[in-house]
Amino acid sequence: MITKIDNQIALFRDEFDKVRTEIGKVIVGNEEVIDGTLVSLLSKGHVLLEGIPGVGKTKIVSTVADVLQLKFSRIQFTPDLMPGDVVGSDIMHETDTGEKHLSFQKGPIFTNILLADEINRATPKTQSALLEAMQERSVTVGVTTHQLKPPFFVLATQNPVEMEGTYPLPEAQLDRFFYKLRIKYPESEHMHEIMNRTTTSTEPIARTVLDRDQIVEMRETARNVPIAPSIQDYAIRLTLATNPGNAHTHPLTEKYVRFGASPRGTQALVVGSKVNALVNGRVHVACKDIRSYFLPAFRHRILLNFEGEADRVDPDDILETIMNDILEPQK
Amino acid sequence: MPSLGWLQTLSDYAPWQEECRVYISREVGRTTNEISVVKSADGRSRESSRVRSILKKIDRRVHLIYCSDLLAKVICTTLGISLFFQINGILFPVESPPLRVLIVGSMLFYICFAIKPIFEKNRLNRTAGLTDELADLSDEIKTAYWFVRNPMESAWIDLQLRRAAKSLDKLKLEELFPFKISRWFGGVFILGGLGTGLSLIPNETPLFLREMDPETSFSEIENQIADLQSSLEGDVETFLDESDFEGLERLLEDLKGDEILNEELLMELQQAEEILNEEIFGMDALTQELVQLSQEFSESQKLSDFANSLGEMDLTSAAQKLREMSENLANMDPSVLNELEQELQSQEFSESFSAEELLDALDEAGTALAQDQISKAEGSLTEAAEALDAMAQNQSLDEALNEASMSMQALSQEISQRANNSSMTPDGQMESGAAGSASDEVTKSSGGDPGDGSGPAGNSTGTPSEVAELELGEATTLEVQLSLEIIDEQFMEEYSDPQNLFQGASQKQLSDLQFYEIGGLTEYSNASALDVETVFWQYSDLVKNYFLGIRPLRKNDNKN
Repeated sequence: MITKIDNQIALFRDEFDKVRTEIGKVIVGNEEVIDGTLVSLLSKGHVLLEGIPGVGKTKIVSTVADVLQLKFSRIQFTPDLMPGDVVGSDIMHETDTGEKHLSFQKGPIFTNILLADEINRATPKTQSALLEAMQERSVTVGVTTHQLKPPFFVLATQNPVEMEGTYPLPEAQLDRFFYKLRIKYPESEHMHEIMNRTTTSTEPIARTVLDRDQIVEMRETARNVPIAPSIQDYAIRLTLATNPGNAHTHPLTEKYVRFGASPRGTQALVVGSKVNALVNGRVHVACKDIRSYFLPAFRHRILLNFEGEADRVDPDDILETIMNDILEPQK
Repeated sequence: MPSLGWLQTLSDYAPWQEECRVYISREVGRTTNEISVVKSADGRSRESSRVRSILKKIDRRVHLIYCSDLLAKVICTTLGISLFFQINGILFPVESPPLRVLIVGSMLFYICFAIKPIFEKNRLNRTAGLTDELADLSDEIKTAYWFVRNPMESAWIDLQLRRAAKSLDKLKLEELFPFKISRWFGGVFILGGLGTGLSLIPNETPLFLREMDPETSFSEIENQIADLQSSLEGDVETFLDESDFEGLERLLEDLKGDEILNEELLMELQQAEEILNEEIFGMDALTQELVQLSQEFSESQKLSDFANSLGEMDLTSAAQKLREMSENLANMDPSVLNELEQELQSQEFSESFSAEELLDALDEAGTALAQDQISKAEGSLTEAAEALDAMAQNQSLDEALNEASMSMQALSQEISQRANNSSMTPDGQMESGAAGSASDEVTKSSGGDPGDGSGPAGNSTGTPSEVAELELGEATTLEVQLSLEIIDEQFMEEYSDPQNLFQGASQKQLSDLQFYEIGGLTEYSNASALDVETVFWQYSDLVKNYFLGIRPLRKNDNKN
């Protein structure tokens, strides 16, 4: 049994590395974003990618879809997009005998990987059409609930700069995202590499290396990684530190935060850490796994109060301070 | 594993072969599962005990290193304290605690802290954390030790334990937790060397250290207070008025109190010094006259001893000599008496001689001898001796008063000096606020120019009277400009009455600095104040404070 698990772990690492390598053939730099996206995929989570236009948000998503042998759909979110355009709707059909009946026409959400491009451009009504799909993995139209086939993975993108004509995602929607990953502007050497790869006649193509069953198996493997209660307690203490009004609240939270991370955030932190532990060849979760994905898991779950907004505080700064101040167990 | 071969054999011959095969496979499967569970549990306990034993080994090693380091620290600290007392003993006349007490205290401290970790709970947990940190094992041992303490049936946990045990086996403890001499032992050697060096210095207070160290100056003051006290406790007590002496005693009590550098004390010291100076007899004139008298008698054979004592100003001895002479008069030969009479009467003293009683008595003695009235002459000589005794007493009182006066003068100088030093800036310049300090007050009260009482705002280096005459020039820096305005503000006190305030010039009109009216640079009417993108950044704080001011109170606001 132990040998079997050992093999599973080796296989997990191997497959993860393969995916990473293939994506790396197309995407330059942004290793943290790629790792975060894959960790999120293997943790049964969804990812919100944030970055200025032109840094490769959509390219990352499409490359991930290329590498995984999964069904891929893309929805360009616009203000006039309706919920029916996302989930599908009942349409009238007429049989040869002339009988008419309603049949459900599936929307683009019935896929494995869904790219919700510029999600904050759609109205809240359309945005909320994704809520049930993201959490329950099902879509209800009328009185009928349709199950989505696993794996269902939403990769949404949004532009943080251009705020004109956008609808910021509501807290409930934001909380559905496992990680919020920020794509940084590439450095000089990365820019050179991007130019070399994309301005010639042959563009690099990523091979498909992982199929649906492998992903499902990897997801199950990751959930089995044990976590010591002291490490779990560290994750919980970090979560509580982001919430005002409790014994573990950090002073900075008390000053600038209206609402902190939810228990769903802690789940994201722990599950993501388990995947990260396996990626690093460990069969246990370490504090550094928790720390690795603390910012992506919590930055969109922190709601600043007026003082925080007025002082233009970045949630990342608060989270980094909390991470530095909350001691790891036995330290 | 029990043999199941008989079941297999039975199945080959039995008519109910199929049922038997099912039964066998079920039994074999169950047994195999049971065996794998037993094996798994066995393996788990083996790995657990391995992890635990290696952790204990590491813990013992860590504890030894800790004890060695603690020992070095304790020795270093003990030597440091001992050195401190040694230096303290050189600088101040303070008695240090015996070295024995220090050593015993340090040993007790060491023993307490050395055995404390042994009784701590979760020692191995801490050791596991330390091992993880030093060997960069990413919480592997910590996690494993938790599962050792809280066993669970999971193949993943078994694998984790096995990996942790392997990692622990691979650790080179000698490299990870090396036994090395603590750096603190370097400190031990340095402090030990310093201590030895200091022990060679004689334990007397070096003067230069006393002058350099402000603490020593305080002890100097204390010594002077003690001197003053001893000088006042002598004859002065009997001589001074009761009220004056009580005043001096009160002054002594104040001096011994905490507020040594009080300006009032300095004033009191000056007053007390004046009182003592008033009471001094002025023995100088009398001394000259007595020396003159001794020179007059110096050629006399009979009165040479008396003259010598007078010349040395040993008045008590001179009085004794006269008494002896008086007692021996009856036994003297007439010729000797005649000589004495001539010697006593041959002297001519000026009329302004202040030791009138002594001269009269000597003159009377000469006259009595001339008239052969020995008993009268004896009485006159005794009177002269008593006059000398009175003079001797006055002399000692004068000396005591002088001494007390000198002590007070020295003490007030010392205190003034300290007051000056304390008001000097590190550059050696007097702070502007300290222009009217204690020393100046004392100088003024002792007859100096009282001045107008307002110290200059700038630097002050001259005497108080000179400083008072200085005129304030143009300010060259903003700080001085503002200081001048603060001084000017004192004149504004006359406008404290609201009526005067409206009639007088405003602060803006009086100020030399320019005031700027802060006007609105932007219009908020078309934009939301809450929209951070449209709030002019200079007004961000203003807007924030405004909204914080008008928001409803929260629970935490009361706490803050």
